[in-house]
Amino acid sequence: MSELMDKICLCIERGKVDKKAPYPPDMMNQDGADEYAREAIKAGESPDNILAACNTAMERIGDKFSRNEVFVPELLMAARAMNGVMEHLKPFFQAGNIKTKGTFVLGTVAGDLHDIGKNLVSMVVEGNGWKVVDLGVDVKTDKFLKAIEEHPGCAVGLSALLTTTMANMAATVKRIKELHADTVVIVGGAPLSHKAAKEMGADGYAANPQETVRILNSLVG
Amino acid sequence: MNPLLSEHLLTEGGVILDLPSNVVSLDAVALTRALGYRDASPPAGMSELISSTAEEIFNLCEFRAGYRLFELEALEADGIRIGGQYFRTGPIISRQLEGAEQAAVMVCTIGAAPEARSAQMIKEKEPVLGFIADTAASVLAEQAAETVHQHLALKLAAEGLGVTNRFSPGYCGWDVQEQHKLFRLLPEAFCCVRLQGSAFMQPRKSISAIIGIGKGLQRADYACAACADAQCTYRKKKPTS
Ligand code: B1M
Repeated sequence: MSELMDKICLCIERGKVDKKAPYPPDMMNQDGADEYAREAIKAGESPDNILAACNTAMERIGDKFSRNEVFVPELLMAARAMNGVMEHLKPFFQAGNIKTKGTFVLGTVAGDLHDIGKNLVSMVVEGNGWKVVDLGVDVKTDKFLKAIEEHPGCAVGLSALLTTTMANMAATVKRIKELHADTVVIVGGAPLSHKAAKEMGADGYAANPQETVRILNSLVG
Repeated sequence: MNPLLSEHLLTEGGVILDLPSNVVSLDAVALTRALGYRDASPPAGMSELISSTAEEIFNLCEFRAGYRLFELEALEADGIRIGGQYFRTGPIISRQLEGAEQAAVMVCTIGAAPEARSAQMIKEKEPVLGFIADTAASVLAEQAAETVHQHLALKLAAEGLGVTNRFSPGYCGWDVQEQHKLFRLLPEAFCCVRLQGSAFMQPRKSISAIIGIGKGLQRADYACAACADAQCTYRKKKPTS
């Protein structure tokens, strides 16, 4: 990895968004992921390499998270820095020079208005190189089905807060699987568990955004 | 322990409490734990973000709280009857209500502004601040509930009565669907909290609970060992008073 790529990687891992960001204090007034990404593109670095550096950074912070060395705020800070780099890469994605890992359709299920968990998952998944189609809250089954048809090959994520809305989640998963058996469905949210996910026929349960990324990345090898 | 709060009797039943923001304080330790730092401290720089965001959220809170007292009409192995409604609370809760002669149904909220601010932060691509804001709002909602609980304990102690722990639908084996029955016992939009069809309260940062009242009752350790919900956040949490 070139020196610039190392710097991008470190800034993301440490959650150093840009020069003006006060966090982390030991990197105060230093360039951040935003400035280094701009510099890398200007220097003609390939977008693929930049993306690879981002992935390495997110993997590192993800590993630390799994080992309880960092917690959700640091994970989100890294995702925030990564999203800044992604902004610079947007034109390359749009031109087809680099590709996202796939599309992840995400929504909070019918009857449920809790969106914070889903929104955090959305940011971290996007930061890890996936295109996220966020359907919002109180999403009825038909809306999920329509999105699956519009984004062939997508994976689907469903979020719920209460056991009452978990019942609506189960109905949505069932219908998705009846019509699109090959579509990978991941569920998450406070009342969920591996057992509940299995019982409703979902392919996976993610306890947090990092776990969602791990499952999604395993789909693309 | 907070002083007694002022009470306002509603003609349609129930009591609204004056809950000025100076009686609810943000528990910084609870917030750090809720953010995930259980045995660790937040890294340098994060603590500052946490305290400034929490302060902003605190200033946005519109605390509202109230309760309504009912005679305990029946106490059975798997539930209780109050206000003509049978609540299937499950044995963990009904056992802890033994000895109660009355029950208070309480509701509290911090209003909708904190959750709107947190959503705005996330929209503005500031997920860390949004997460801290949301968590601070949750901790403040819990503390508002605790303030109401302490008020009741103090008020009833003067009458020679004690209170149990507070029990919320959705915990300790009590089906969250029973929120519908609970809200039927309260005036419409009590404390400006409304219940959606899916048993979801709005504003989101709201809490409902029942508290047993009777001679010789006191708050105790939650009966976590008897509960099958291994995921529950409040597992083994000790009562605060
Ligand atoms: C692939 O797709 C994916 C993948 C991962 C996904 C995903 C989708 N969606 C989420 N994830 C995952 O990643 C996210 C980021 O890490 C996470 O998203 P979350 O949305 O879960 O996380 C948020 C960022 C932060 N987390 C939270 O906001 C929820 C945390 C816990 C502790 C919790 C809190 C803080 C609160 N609550 Co309460 N609360 C609990 C929760 C127990 C727990 N351990 O989760 C839960 C959800 N609450 C419960 C209950 C019962 C209730 N709560 C209530 C109230 C409250 C507070 C106000 C005190 C507060 C805020 C609630 C809010 N909705 O904002 C009430 C309901 C509120 C309402 N509006 O109706 C009330 C009904 C109690 C009452 N009667 O008053 C339980 C629900 C169980 C059930 N029976 O339905 C509960 C599981 C607690 C428990 N028993 O352990 C992961 O779940």
